[in-house]
Amino acid sequence: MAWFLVKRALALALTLLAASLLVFGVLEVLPGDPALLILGVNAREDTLAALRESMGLDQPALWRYLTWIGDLLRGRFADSLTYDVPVSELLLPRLAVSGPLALLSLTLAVALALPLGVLAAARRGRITDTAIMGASQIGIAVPNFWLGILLVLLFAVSLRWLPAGGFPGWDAGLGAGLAALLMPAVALALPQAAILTRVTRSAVLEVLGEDYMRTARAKGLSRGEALWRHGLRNAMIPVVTIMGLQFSFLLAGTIIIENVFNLPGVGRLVFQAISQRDLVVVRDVVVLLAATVGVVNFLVDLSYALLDPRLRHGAGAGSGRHG
Amino acid sequence: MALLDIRDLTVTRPGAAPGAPPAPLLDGVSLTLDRGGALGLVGESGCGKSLTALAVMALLPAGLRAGGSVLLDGEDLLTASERRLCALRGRRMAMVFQEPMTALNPVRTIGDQVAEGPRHHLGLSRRAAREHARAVLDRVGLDPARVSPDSYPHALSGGQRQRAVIAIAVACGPALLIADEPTTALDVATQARILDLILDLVTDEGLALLMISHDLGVVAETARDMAVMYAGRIVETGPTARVLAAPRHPYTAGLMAARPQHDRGRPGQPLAAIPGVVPPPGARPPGCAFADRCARADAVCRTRPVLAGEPGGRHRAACHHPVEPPA
Repeated sequence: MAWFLVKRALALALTLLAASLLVFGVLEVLPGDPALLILGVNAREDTLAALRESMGLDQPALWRYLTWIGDLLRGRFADSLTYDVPVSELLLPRLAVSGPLALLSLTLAVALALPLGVLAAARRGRITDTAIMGASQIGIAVPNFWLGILLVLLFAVSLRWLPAGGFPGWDAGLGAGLAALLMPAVALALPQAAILTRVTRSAVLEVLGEDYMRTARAKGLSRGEALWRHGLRNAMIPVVTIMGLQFSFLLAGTIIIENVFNLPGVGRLVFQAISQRDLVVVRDVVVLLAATVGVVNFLVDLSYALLDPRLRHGAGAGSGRHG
Repeated sequence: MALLDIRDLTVTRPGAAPGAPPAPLLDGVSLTLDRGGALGLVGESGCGKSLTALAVMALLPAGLRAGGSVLLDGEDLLTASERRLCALRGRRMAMVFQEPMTALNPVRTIGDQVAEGPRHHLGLSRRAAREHARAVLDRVGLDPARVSPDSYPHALSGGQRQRAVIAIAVACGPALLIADEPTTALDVATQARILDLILDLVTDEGLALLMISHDLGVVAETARDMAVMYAGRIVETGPTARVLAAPRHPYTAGLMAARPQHDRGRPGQPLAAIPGVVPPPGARPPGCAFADRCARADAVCRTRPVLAGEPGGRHRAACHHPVEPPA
C-alpha cells in the first residue's frame, strides 16, 4: 500500500513537471511580446527595453522558468499584465465560483448516473433499460452550451424561476448563490451523467456475470440483494476511473458554460486572459487546472485501494481472478 | 420419500432463429437422492452435469427453460416462487462451486461472506452471525487463530478458498449439498483433503450429497450410488461399486478405460480415448446419442431412442447392446 502511494505521488509530481514545462514552452514560442502589449505599438524602444528588464524578460528562459516555478511553490504569484495585481488575487474570488460549480455538477452527474445505470443493468433488455439508454444517447449527443441556452430559455425566460446568468456573490446568501449555479451545473452535469450512466450499466452487467454473484444467489440472496451487497462495490472500480477522467472534461466545460451564463469563474478568467494576451494569468491558471486534474486522478487511485483489498494489501498479480 | 427427486428434467435453450425448435440441453434426466445419501454424477465436459445442478438450485442462466419436476422434500422447485426459492437456497440446499478463485467476492472478507447466510436465514444478529461464521470456518478447517475470518479471499490459497466456499454452503445446515467439481481446480494433495472434508461433513451433519465430477475416482470415493450422463441424458445408473465393477453402457466402459492408471499399461503407451466428441445440443441423433462414437452401435442404435428406466437402486443402462458382465 505504501509503495502504491509513493508510486502514484511520484507520477503526480512528474505529470505536474511536464505540464508546467509544456505550458511554459508553448507560451515561450508563441509570438507576442508582453512589454509591447502593455505599452502599445507606439512605445519607444528604450521604454520597452526598460520594461522587459524590470519584468525579467531579458533573462534566459530556463532561469525564468525556475523563478516562476520556485515562486509558485512558495505561493507567490506574478502580477497580471492587464490588471496589475498578483494572479492569486484574481484567482481566489473566481475559485469560489468555479469550485462549487464543478462540485455541484459532479454531484448531480453521479446522483443521476449511478441509480439509472444500475437500474438499466438490472432491467437489461426491458423497456426501462431501453428508455434509460435512449435518454443517455440524447444526453451524450447534446452539447452542454446548447443545453445551457435551452435551460435559460425555459427556466429564466419563460418560467422566470432562476436567474438567466451572472453571480450575486456568496455574500448575497447561500440560496441566491446556489440558484445562480444550478442551471450551469445541470448543463454541465447532464452530458457527463449520460456517459457515466452507460459506464455504470456495463460495469454492473459485467459484475452480474461473475461467479461470486452466483455464490451470493446460492446463499439465498435475492437478485437485488446480491447486486446491492456483492455487485456494486466491484462495479464501482471502472465507474470511479471514468469519473476521474470526466473531471478534466468538467473543468474544460466550465470555461464554455461560465461564458454562456456569464459567471465570474476561473474558466471565464482564463478565457479573458487568452483574448487579452495576459500570458502570466494564462500560464498560472492552466498549471493550476492541470494540478487539479492531477490531484483528482491521484484521489481516484487512492479510491481503488479503498474499493479493492487486493491493491490495499499489495497482492501480486495472479492471485486475483482468473479463468 | 426421497429428499431430492428429479423427474424427467429437461432444460432447453430457445431456438436461435424465431420459430426454430428449442435445443434440448438436458433431456429427460431423472435422479433420486435419499436423505443422508450420496449420489455421484459423472460425464465428460458439456454433458449437462453442471446444468443439472443449477436447475436444482433454480439458478439456470437467463434464457434457459426447465421442464419436468425437481422435488425437494416433495416440493416442486420448478414451480416455486422466487421468494420461496430464496428461502430454500442456502437453507435447505446449498452448492459448492468448481472455481474457488472466482466463487468468492474479492472485496469482502471471508468471515463476512460466511456470516451472510446465517443472518439471512437464521435471523442472527450481526454479532451472533460473526460468531457463527467463526465456528463454521473452524469446522471446515480454517482455524480462526491461523486464518483470520477478516482475511480477504486473495490472501488465501486455493484449498483455503474452497474451504471458505464450503463454509458458505454448510453455514445454515442444509439437507442437500451439491458439489460441482469441487476439487477440479485444486492440486492433487489439496484435492484429497477437500474430499475428506466433504465426506466428514456429510457423515457428521447427515447431509445428502450430490457429487458432480468428471473423475470416476472422486465419485468412487464419495458416492454410494452413481449416474453417468452423456449428451444431456442419463445413460447408466446404479450402485457405484457395481457400475464401476461391471459397466454396462459402452460409454461408461469407455470412460473407465480412458482413466490414467499407474497400475495399468506401460509408460509411453497412449491412454485409451473415446473417439469423437459429444454431439452439440440440437445436433443429437434421433437414436442413442453415443452411437456415432460407439464400437457396438448398429442401425437400431441410430434410429431408436433408448431409455434408462426408473432411477435408484438397481443397475440400469440405456443401451440396446449393453456390455456383458465379465464371467
